[in-house]
Amino acid sequence: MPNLPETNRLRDSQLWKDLVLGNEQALGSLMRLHYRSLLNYGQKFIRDEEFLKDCIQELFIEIWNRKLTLSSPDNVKAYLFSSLRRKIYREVNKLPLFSPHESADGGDSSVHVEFSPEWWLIEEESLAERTQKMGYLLNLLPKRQREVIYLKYYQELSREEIAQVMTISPQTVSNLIQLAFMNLRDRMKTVAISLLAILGLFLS
Amino acid sequence: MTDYRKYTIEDFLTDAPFRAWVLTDDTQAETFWQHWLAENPDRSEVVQEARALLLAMAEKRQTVSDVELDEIVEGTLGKLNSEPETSQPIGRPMYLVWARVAAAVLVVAGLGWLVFRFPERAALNAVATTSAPSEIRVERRNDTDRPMTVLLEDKSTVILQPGSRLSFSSALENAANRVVYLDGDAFFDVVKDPAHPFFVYSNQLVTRVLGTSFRVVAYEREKQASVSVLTGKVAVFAKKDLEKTDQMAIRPEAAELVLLPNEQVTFSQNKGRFTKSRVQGLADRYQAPRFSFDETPVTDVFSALEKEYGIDIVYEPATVDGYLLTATFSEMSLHDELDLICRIIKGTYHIEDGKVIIETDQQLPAEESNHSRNPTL
Repeated sequence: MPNLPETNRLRDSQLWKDLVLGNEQALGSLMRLHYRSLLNYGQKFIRDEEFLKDCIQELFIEIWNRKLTLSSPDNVKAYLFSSLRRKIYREVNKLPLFSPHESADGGDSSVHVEFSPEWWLIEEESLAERTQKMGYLLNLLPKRQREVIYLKYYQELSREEIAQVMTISPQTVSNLIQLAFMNLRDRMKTVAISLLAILGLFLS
Repeated sequence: MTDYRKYTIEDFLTDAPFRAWVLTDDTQAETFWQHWLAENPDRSEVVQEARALLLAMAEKRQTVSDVELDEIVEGTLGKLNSEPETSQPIGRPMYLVWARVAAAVLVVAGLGWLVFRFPERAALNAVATTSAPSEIRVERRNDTDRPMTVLLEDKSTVILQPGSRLSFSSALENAANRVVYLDGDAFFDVVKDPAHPFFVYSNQLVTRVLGTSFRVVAYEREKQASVSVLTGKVAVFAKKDLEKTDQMAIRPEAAELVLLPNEQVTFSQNKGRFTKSRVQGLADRYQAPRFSFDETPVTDVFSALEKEYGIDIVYEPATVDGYLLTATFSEMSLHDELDLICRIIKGTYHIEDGKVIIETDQQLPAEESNHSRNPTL
């Protein structure tokens, strides 16, 4: 069985080389390959979709304009994610609406990953309920745990890639994942009970 | 063979076949996992938790279609040519600003009263994101004193009560979300299409469905609005809360409501809240008309449907000549009826400009086939 992440990584590196040589189509291919993932990732931070799309486009244009001075990333996907993340932080902090402040979580700004599953579009009743509950639980996690879980299990980034994106050590990534699951398991039990209670109130 | 019985939530989350099942429409994976779950009911809890966890992160809604992605990539590449190569970060591309202004003008020009009526950003966003530049808004008003059937391009039908009006995009079928605007009282029979949720915007309420039948009563001049459900599942939001729905979606005590058959919700503007109740008689009120045909020529069947529903059916008489229909239609939607007739005459139908267009690709029936065809009902 071929090692898919490795194949993708090599493909991305080759495209990067081509784009440094001035091949626009290589830039287009990279954009096509990663646009949806970047959009999904960005949506976890900001709700303004047009603004987000502009950010992603600018990211690719900047890469093109600076291709001769940028050093080739080892891992293009992780590079794109971390660049978008930095860009969003920078752009959002420019807006007066979000004044940057330190949170109890030790995070770097008010920008953070938040989930909003479209549970009501899920037809299977019990699954819709579960998904709603899970979105709720995920959002209760401290924000760095939330982001690590998302990058690992939704975007399928490796421990090293996540470390690069979030500028933390690989060991910290592992710790955060472990903590997140401990938290989730604990809360799955308690929330199941309180959800029942709310449902009871609603029906009565 | 992988022993999924030993899998934890974390293991499932990184398992390729499992992910294919949850995140894509892979039917093979669907079959495999349904089968596996049936055989391992004691593991279903773990599987379902893992499934929900992945889904909670998925957020399909705002993804882009292949066509949109092509446009975005081409737009970006086009931008490269006109931009001198410098190492300076560039500002926001100007044409993007123009595109947005153009889109905004289009929406404003196209919607007229709607924009005035739905000034909230959320409503505009919903329109803007589903608007193709070439789309035209269509408005249907019922100025008669009888209910009027409106056919939508996606084959959904709407029964519009007198004094009501409905507006929608002419490109409804191709839009990511099917969005219509209602002022008044209407019964919707929506064709199921999970990839393209159907929205009814009205003065105070937004109703969101996949495929189902339900009634919305929402007159702009009135302070109260209601939604009642005949079949399927419907989610209702107060429009003022729509901006907040992203947050609401994840809170169990959220203010949107999910309605099941024979449930009704009333929203009162003054109180700003929903009241949920049981509703009776919706099925009687909106009972599908009953037809009985006995060796009836298809042309006469079409006439009967046209008269009953108040719609136009366009077809080439020669292509359906000689087909006789013996059938009873009861509890069937217009869509099902047309579907069935088309199967008999080996044709297809689509909706264009509110009319039913019948197409058959066959030659005139030969002499020997000129006898009654009895559909099995």
